[in-house]
Amino acid sequence: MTTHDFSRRTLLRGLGVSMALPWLESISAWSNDAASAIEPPVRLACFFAGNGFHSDEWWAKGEGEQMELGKVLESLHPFREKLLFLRGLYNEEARIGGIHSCQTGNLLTGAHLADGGEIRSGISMDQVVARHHAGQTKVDSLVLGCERSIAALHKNYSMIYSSHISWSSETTPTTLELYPALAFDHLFRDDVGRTDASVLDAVLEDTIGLRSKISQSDSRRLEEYLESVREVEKRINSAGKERRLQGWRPTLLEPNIARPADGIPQDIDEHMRLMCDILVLAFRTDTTRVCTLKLNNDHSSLRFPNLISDRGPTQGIDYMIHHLLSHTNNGDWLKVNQFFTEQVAYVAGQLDAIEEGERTLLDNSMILYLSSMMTGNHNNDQLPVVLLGSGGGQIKTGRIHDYLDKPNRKMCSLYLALMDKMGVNLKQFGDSSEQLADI
Amino acid sequence: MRNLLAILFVMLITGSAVADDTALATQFANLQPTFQKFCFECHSSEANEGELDLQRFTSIELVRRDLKPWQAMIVQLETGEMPPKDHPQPSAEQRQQLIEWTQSLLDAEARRRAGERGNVPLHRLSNAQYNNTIRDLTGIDLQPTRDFPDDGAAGEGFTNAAEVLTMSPALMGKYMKAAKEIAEHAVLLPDGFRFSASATQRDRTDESVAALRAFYRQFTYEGSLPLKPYIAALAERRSDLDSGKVTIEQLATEKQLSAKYLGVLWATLNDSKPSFPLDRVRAYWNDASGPNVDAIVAEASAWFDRLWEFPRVGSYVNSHRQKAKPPAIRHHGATENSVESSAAVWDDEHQQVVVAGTEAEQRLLVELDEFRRVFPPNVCYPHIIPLDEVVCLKTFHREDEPLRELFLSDEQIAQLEHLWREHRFISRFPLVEKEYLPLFIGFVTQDQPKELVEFFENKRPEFQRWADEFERDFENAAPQQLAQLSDFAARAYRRPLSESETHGLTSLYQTLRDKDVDHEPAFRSVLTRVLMSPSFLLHLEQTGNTADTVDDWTLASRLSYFLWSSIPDNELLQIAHAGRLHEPEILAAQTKRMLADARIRSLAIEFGAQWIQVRHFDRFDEKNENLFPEFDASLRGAMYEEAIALFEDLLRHGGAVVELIDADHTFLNETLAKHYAIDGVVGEQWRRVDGVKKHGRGGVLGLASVQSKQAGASRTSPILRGNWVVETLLGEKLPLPPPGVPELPESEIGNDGLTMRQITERHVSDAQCASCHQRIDPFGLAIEQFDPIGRLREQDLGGLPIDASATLSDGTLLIGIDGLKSYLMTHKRDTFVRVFYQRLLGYALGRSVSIPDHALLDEMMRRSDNGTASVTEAIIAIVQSQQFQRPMEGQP
Repeated sequence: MTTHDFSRRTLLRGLGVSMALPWLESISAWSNDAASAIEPPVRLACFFAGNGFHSDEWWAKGEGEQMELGKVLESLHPFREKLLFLRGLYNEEARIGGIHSCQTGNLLTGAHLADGGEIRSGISMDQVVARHHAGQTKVDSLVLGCERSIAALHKNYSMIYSSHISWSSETTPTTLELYPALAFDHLFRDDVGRTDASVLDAVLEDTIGLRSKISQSDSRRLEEYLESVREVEKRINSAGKERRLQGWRPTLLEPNIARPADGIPQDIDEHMRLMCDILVLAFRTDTTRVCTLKLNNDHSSLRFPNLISDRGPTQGIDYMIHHLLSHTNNGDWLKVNQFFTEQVAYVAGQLDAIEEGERTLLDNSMILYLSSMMTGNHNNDQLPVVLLGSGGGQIKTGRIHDYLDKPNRKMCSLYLALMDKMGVNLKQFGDSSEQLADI
Repeated sequence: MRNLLAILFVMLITGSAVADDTALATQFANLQPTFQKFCFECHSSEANEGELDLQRFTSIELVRRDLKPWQAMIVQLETGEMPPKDHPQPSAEQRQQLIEWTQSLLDAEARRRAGERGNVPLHRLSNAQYNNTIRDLTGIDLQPTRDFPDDGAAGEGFTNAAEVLTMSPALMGKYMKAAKEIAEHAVLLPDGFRFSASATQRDRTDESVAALRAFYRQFTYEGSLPLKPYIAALAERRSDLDSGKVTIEQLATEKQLSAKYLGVLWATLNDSKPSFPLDRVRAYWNDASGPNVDAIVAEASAWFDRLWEFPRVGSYVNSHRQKAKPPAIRHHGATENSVESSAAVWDDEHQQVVVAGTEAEQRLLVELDEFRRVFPPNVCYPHIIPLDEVVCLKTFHREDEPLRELFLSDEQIAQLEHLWREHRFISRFPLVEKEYLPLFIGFVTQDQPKELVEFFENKRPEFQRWADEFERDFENAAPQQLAQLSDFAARAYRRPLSESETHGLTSLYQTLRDKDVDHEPAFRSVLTRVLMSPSFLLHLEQTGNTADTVDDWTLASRLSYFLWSSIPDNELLQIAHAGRLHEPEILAAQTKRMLADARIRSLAIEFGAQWIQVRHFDRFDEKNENLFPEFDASLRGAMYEEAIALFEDLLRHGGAVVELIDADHTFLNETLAKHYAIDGVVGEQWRRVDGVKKHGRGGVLGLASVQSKQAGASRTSPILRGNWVVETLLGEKLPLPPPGVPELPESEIGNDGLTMRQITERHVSDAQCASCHQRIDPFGLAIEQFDPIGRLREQDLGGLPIDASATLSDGTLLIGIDGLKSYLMTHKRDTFVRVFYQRLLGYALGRSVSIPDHALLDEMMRRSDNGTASVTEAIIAIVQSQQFQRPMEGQP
């Protein structure tokens, strides 16, 4: 190998790997922190529902037990003392570019989106947390969805943006799992063959061998390939090994529900419910601590034959959300909104029933519920955001925070605050360098 | 040799570029105060509003490196969106100067950069490509991406765009799972391996048994001698055979019979040498009134039970289920010395006799054997698996000597031997039986005679030997299997393997064997490794990049993934191997060959259906089941097939691009024809139907799939349809709708007597909305005559009459689909053809079409004859273009 080669490779590794992980060196992992070894860990989940909510029914007033909620949020009433209603937050970059795609692809990244058939966002905050704590749980993060992603361009932007809120690199949305059974397998099943490790070693060898043979512009993608193989290898190497549990132990070590059936359930309510159950199970068993669940796409075409339409008792709400539903802002639209919130409420209820030390699992979590726009007609000068759980007592809940007139009302500031509570102390994320006040 | 004209063309534009440069640079300097005054307030390096910094463009060189903002700027200036209304505005003249300068710069760049490869980053196979590649590599359509996440779209709107095809750990996990599953489908054989639809040894064994059964079934039903058709054929053509007018071989071919047995029978029947039972058969053959076919068959069959016995098989005690039976010869006194040639000799009532130990008896025995040889009751045991015993040691029974001797040509015998050799490998019966033997002995000792137990006890060494032989053969096959695996890898990687790559495969195998992994799992693991290699999963292009075209292997891959979404076939690989694929005539000929191939269906789906946004229409179920119960899986499937067939036909037969608008034909089966109320289409097979314009069909606009997709679940949407026409067919980019879009009803029923047209018109009466909707809606209103599932209709679901007339913003009146089509064919013909070419080029390259492609598109347009030129010519122009053939920029 020539010295020229050496320096070039070093450079490529720098581009491909360390650029994606600028914080790795500087921040100590929480497991090294003596206190956290006995405290239950904080879990972070994000529920996304595209296309906004009914314009008159997303609201909250009052405080604590007295808090009242709009009809969209009704099912969260039992958890009113454990939630924060955040008004007036917005994402500056989501106001540039097209509707739908550009309001969603950067919702958790705060990044500028590339147009014209290119794909570029940023690393989303769930993935920042997942990477930071990589290896502490069996699965670094869980990225679930209940609607297939859209393969098209819309107003000069790829609809890949409107189908993905989680991004594991600037150019790669995190792979979405739509199949409940496969999500379950990913968490709990180790299908490791005797020869897998040797095969992966050989693949790594092949990949590294190709480095010198491809153009520089291709090297980033090759490094991405290499990283992916390494991740699979890591997973295989840790499979079957006893988890070292010191201090705090999860309240459940093995799944207490059966593996869901193969395939995507025909009924949307069953599909969503299974995904919620898997999320709860993943948190309870401490198999992962970070999860995003995309209930639908922005520009969704889901239908809800399970819900009864205002048009008549025998009719389901079977017209697609966009454009035929979200723009109408009618009673059926409200029912769909409520159906989404019920999923969040279901998960909150499940988590709240699980005692973890002094608190419940819900208390030990931070569950974000948000959309890409305020209402169905693309307005995102402010976004609908609710946060459930106190992050293990770090957040004072049962309150409403109004940021509308405050200088810092950036979503990325909220993410900075949430990441901080997950043990990730960043100076800067997306377009913000300051944590949101009062969280 | 490159095209000489192309070289001249390149020289010309390079020459003019120099002149351009100086002028543009001077103009740029002169425009600086204008930029300063009207743009930098927001778009300075400091302010950088909307992520746009115009201040950093301090030289024309910097402008050239990032043209995107300048392309956007032209649109902003032309539409008056920038500078914003509440900011100082440039004079009309200043605005014009800015536009003109930017345009000349872009034009100059288009000439200077013509043919650049552009940004096509290293990317993985798309899901469709991966499925097809596995299908063509293994011969089995395994669809490994069934539960993979869907690919996104980028570039010109296709899922094969390099930009979206990235890799992630989760996806790699899925590829690994898929690779392991595919490797399980490999079947190891004595001389290599192949793939099977089955993934378990049991299923593969069943498959192998089925192959053997199918072989036998070519000759016999249930194993019995198929005598009658042979005798009948000989009898029918006896005189022709006698005169030599027809040969046995010709007759066999004609009647689809075995020439061998036909010849044996012919010789036997015509033989004059006396032979006892045969003579009885010959008597009917030589009957004065001609051969008596039924009597011959009856006579021959009558001897089956007399001459044969049929022991039960399945164990090793009886090796045959059909054995010669000692004849019931009744011996007479010592002086008698003759044989009565009569059937009655075997009949208890008329016993005839020979003298024991005489020559006559010996002759009789020989004659009986002669008879047995030609007329065995069964020619083989076609069931393979012994069925007639409850407990059976023998897993497979082979008995086919008569078939081989009487019926099979040498080639067929070799084929049969090959099948059995493979069957032994696949089923591993010597191992299975060896392991089973002790259990079997334990079982039979319970109630069987001692001799039988002893018989099997004594068999132990033999079974061990068979098993050892098998293991040895199995191991000995490894080198050939591994050699074939290298060939497989070369096909998978779409290029020859380097020595170290070949070595890498065997060394992995060896590493695993050294770890005590058996041959078979080790082999499958090597296969898995090939299927996970970046050389397989990525579109890797190793190239010495000084050349202006990629090597032939890479070109073959680009070509086959463009046209087939799959690997190059053998012919393409051979031409690449000969290094001749880049020769323009050969490349064109190969392109034509590939367009005519069935695999072009992938281009119809991945490009055609995706372009008109109906890809995966078969799984599109977003219709109100109460209103449209007929919109079921079968109708959806038929609608989708029509769209695919339309593109497939265009590509395979080299149709004109404008056919996509103006065709008077479409493709139908009975289901879809009924949906369209077109009579005379019977049966579910697909066919071309002409004269469909009068039914509102033909071209993409006549597709029910398109009309359904661009409609709601319970109503039509003139806006969606209009938008589809404007964006998909005309390639216009519409600005975003303003916030606060008003509400629309979701059904056609119960809207206070208003039609969708009236509601739509009211919807856009707002001046802010109107500017765009005047561009969109008329196209959709003109096709209001299609209902939400694409049927022609006179009235809407609320019973109100349909008005399909629409006035465009320039005053043109359109009526119905015919009016829309003729408008497109006259006023928008060039626009449509260019949009089609642009999308096709973007698909071929896997990226967005941009400035360096303008010259190619211009050239394609010049050659398009107003869209009447064959689509084949456009495809050839693309594959011969520089952008298609150049390597990626950047040094290795």
